[in-house]
Order: sequence, then structure tokens, then C-alpha cells
Amino acid sequence: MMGFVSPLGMLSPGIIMVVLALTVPVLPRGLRALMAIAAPAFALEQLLTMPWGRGGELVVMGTTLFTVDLNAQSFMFAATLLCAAIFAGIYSWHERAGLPVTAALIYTGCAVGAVLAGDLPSFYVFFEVATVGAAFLVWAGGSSAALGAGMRFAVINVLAGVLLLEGFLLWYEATGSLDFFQTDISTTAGVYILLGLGIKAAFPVLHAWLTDAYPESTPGGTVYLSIFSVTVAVYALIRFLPGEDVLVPIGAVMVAFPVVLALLANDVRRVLCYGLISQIGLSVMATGVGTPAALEAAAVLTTANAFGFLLLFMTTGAVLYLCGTASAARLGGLFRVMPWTAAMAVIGAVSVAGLPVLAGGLAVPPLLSAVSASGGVWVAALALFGVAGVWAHAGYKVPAVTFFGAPRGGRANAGNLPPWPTVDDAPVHMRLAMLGAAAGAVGVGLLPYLRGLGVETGVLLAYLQILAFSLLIHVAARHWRLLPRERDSALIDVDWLYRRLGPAVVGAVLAGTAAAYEAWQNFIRARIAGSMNGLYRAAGPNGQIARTWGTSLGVLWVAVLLAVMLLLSYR
Amino acid sequence: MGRQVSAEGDRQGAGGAPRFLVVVALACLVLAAAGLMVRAPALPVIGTMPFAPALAGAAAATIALVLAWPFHFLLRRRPGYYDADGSADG
Repeated sequence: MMGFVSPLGMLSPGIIMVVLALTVPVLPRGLRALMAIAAPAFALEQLLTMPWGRGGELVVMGTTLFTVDLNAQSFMFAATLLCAAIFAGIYSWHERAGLPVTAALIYTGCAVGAVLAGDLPSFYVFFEVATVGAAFLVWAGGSSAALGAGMRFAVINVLAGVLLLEGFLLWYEATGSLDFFQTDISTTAGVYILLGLGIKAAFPVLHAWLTDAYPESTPGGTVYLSIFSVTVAVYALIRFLPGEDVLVPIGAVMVAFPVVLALLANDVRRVLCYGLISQIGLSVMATGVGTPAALEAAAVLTTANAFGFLLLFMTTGAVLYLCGTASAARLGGLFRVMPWTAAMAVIGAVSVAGLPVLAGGLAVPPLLSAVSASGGVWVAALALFGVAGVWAHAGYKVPAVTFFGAPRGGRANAGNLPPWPTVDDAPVHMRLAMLGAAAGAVGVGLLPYLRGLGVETGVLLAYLQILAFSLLIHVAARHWRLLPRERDSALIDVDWLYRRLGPAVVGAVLAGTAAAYEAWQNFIRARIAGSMNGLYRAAGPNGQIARTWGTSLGVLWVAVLLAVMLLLSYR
Repeated sequence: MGRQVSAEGDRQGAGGAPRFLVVVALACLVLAAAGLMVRAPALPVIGTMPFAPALAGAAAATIALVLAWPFHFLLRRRPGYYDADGSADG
């Protein structure tokens, strides 16, 4: 591909990042932040200079594994993830603790390794080790809530890993091949892979780990967490299940259901998580449509949204870093004190919204056409609902409640102003990182134009009308306060099942079991006590047996016994 | 030292929304007019009828906003519902 060929041959950039990550704990604190940028930069240099094709052989127990398969698709995903990792590293320049930096580099390195993997074992190992790194990133949040969320994240993602492994093993048993394969849900392996990737990609009902865990990390940790896992999951769906029909309705529901929840969520980072699920749903839907154009749209959308969401998570992270809160009920009006961050948030918002020249501008309209033509009325309606609902989360709500309007916390709390009236704009390193992510969003958005691709004017106009009129309703509703008020609150989602209902059911079962056991113990104890009392009454010091009998009664008993003996002997 | 969010800033911030609303409304008018001239047969139903994309977008947003109210009562709970310190709420 390039004139200069890497001296490292086809060594996976993911492995380079993991090795460098392991050096972080022994580095001086000042060099750790530098390594967070240098490691992905070095890996990107390796990606750009390594030869294309299959390689990076590794012999494990007599089996040759290929850790790299560099082609156009894997290159696009890996380059996106590495650029995102560099920007996230710059953003986290203030982070000097060893654990978060190491976890972040292992997580991002393994995500890169997974999209570049040349066979199933390499893909699986990278994907699962990435999960371990992600769990440590959640725990880096440091609060008790982060600890709990990290545990739930780890348990659910390990379950997903087990399902994936089962699918791969079934495939290996049937075919004896370790190569990537395409399947569908008519095979048992396909069902396992769909379930495993469904959890990783945050399918509806299986999504709660994402909205539960991501907002609990540090500001920089959430930026890292935001895009890598789901991007790899979508890449895997494109590799393993392209054209799988069931992905179309799943994607449609995935696009639509977060819209309402995003309107109600209070933590702006959680709002973004719902937006992320909704936008990933578009990619899932496109994967289900399965035509070459749709699969390309899925890949472009995923990479484009990676930059858009990276940028938005950076802006909300900067707000949390400087103001100490991400609560929509307490934010507002920060445009005055953080104009740079606000501007970046607007770029990220319109990028995720998919306006032309930015992000999905060229990918969403043809996707809507394809889904409308092939998915049926309900699927098309749900897709349209989700596309128009982008303003409910990343497109409009997040910048509107965070940066514009009046400072809600200040107004509600007169005399007890929140801590941000005197904050400055984001630090320089955060601004640089945001600038890079914004350039990425614009760059990916421009790529189709540079390649001479276009969209039918009519479809583009229809798409813009959908977006514009939806935005009009959202802006009007927020202006005239027709929406439920933003307020500090908890939002019930599917995680309620295992955070409230599950413990309640287990508690009730345990309480019932304990009560039954106690009742049984009491019953047995009462019976034993009764028997002992009876024996005591009979044989105790005051009982019949122990009583001193008179001579006449004794003679009588002897006579009776002799009579009995006589009768028995006589017979 | 950072800048202060002043009362003036509050008023200006609050006044930004109507201006934005007007801008969006104008954009809607322009796009609706353009949509009358160029149809999109590739989009079944909404691409072939005048104003259908506009109505679809507005209807989708309205449905989301209307649905938000019952779900607001159904799904929102006090801070600390999940964790005593309320940090995992949202």
C-alpha cells in the first residue's frame, strides 16, 4: 500500500498497544499520559505501513493463528479506532494514574486487534480481553456505583463471551475451520453468535449494561468506553451475519426505543448512551438488509458515528470534569463560559444527526430507502421514528440542556449557586482532542463525496425534511415547556430487572426459605421438648417409675406376674 | 479565573431559543417548498406524496414527545432509587 514497509512486518497494531500498555505501571507518572498518545500513534504508523493481506502468524499448541487480516474494511475500522484512541489519549492528558491508562490502552488495543484479526481465535481473544480492560475502566470511576456497574458490566459481557465461544466451537466442530465465516440463525452456531453479539452491540432488552456502566467511569474513561466495544460488535455482525433478516426488525426497534428513554434520562452522558444505541441500530438494520451498498452504509455509519459520539462524550466529559455534574437538571447556559466546548458539541450533534457533509449524511438516506423498500411498513415506520428522533438525544437535547438556555441549577437554587459560574472553558488538551474528533467527523463525512458518490436529490430532500420538521417540534416543545421537566431522577430501564426485581425476588425467596426452615426447626424442637417432658413426667424424680412403692403393691405385682407365668407355662 | 454566568447571560441564553425556533421554521419552509418540486420515488409512500416527509418527521417527533409523558410517570423515580448516593441514577 505504501512505499515504506514496516520493519515489524505484519505484527498486529493491537499487540503493539497491549505490550506498550503493560509498561505503563512502571513508567514515571509524567510519561504515562504520553504513552496513552504514543502507543496508538505508533500502532497507527504500523497499520499504515504494514502490507495488506493475511499474516501475523502465531503458533499456539501446534495450530497456526493469523492475528492480522488487513483489507479495506478492517483497515477502515482499525484506522478509525486508532485515531479515536489517539484523540481519547490527548483528551485524558490529565490522567496520570497507572490503572486507567493501562486499562484504556489494553481496551483500545484489543479492539483494534479484534477488527484486524485473521481468524476466530485471534478475534475472540482480542474481543474478550478488551472487555476486561473496559471493566477496569468502569471501575476507575472509583465510586461504589462504579464498582457495582463494573461488576454488572463484567458479568453480562462474560456471558456474551461464553455465547460467542459456544458459537465458534460449534462452527469449528462442524467444519474444522478457524477462518471467519458467514452464517445465519438457521444454524445453532448462528443463534449463539447472534445472542453474543446482540449483547455486545446492545440489542434491545440486552442493552442495559451500556447505559448502566458507561456513565459511571471517569470523564476520560467514558470517552474511551463510548465507541470501541459497539464498533467492534457491529464489525463482527457485518463479518458473521450479513443479510440476516432478523437484524432488520431488531435494528428498527433498536433505533426507535431509546428515543423516548433519552428524553427522560437526566444524566447527559446516559442520554448520549441511548443515542449511541439508537445510531448503532441504524448500522444493525443496514447489516440486516445485507446488500453491498447497505453493508458499506453500515460500515460508514459506524465509523462516522464513532467520531460524532467521541466528540459528544468529550464535550459532556469536559462539562463533568469542570462543573462536577452531568445532571441535565443542574446544567444549562454553559455556552457563555465554555464557548469552544459548546461549538464542538454542536458539531458533534449535527454530525450524529447525519446532515450532509457530516457523518451519516450520505449513508442514512439510501438506508431509509432500502429499509422502506424491503423491510415492511412497521420496520420502515420504526426506522423513521428513530431517525427523526435523533434530536431527542445527541442531536439536540444534549447541547440544548447543557450549553444553551438559562442555567437551571442557578435558577432553582438561587443563593446556593452550583459550582460552575466561575469555570473556564475546557483545558487545552481537551480542546485539541475535540478538534481532532471534529476533524474526523467531517473527514469521514466528506469521504463519500471525495469518492464521487452521491445521493438522489429527492431522497436527500425528503430526509432533510424529516429531520427539519422533527427538529422544529423538539425545539418548540422545549421552548414552550411541553416536555417533562429535567430533574434529578433515576430512570427505570431493563436493568431494573436485575437491580431491583431480581434482588427483591431473591430476597423474598431467601426470607421464605428461612421462615420455613425456622418453622420446621421450631416444630421439631417442640416435639423433642414434648417427648422429653413426657419422659420426665414418667421417669423423673416425681414420676410414676421413680416413686417409692408400698410393700402391698409390690406383692400384688409379684402375684400378677406369677399368675401370668403360670398361665403361659400351663399351655 | 473563569467568567461569570451573569443574569444578562441568562436572559440572552433564554432569548436564543425563539431565534433558533424561527431559523428552524424558515428552514422547514424552504425544504418543504423544495420537496414540492423534487419527489423521491425511492422512498415508498412518503417520497411520492407532497409534504409527506415533513408530516412524517413532525409526526414522529410528536409521538415521541407524547409518549414521554406516560413514561415519565412510569419510569422516573427519585434520586437514590438504585443506589443510596444516587450516583448511578440517570
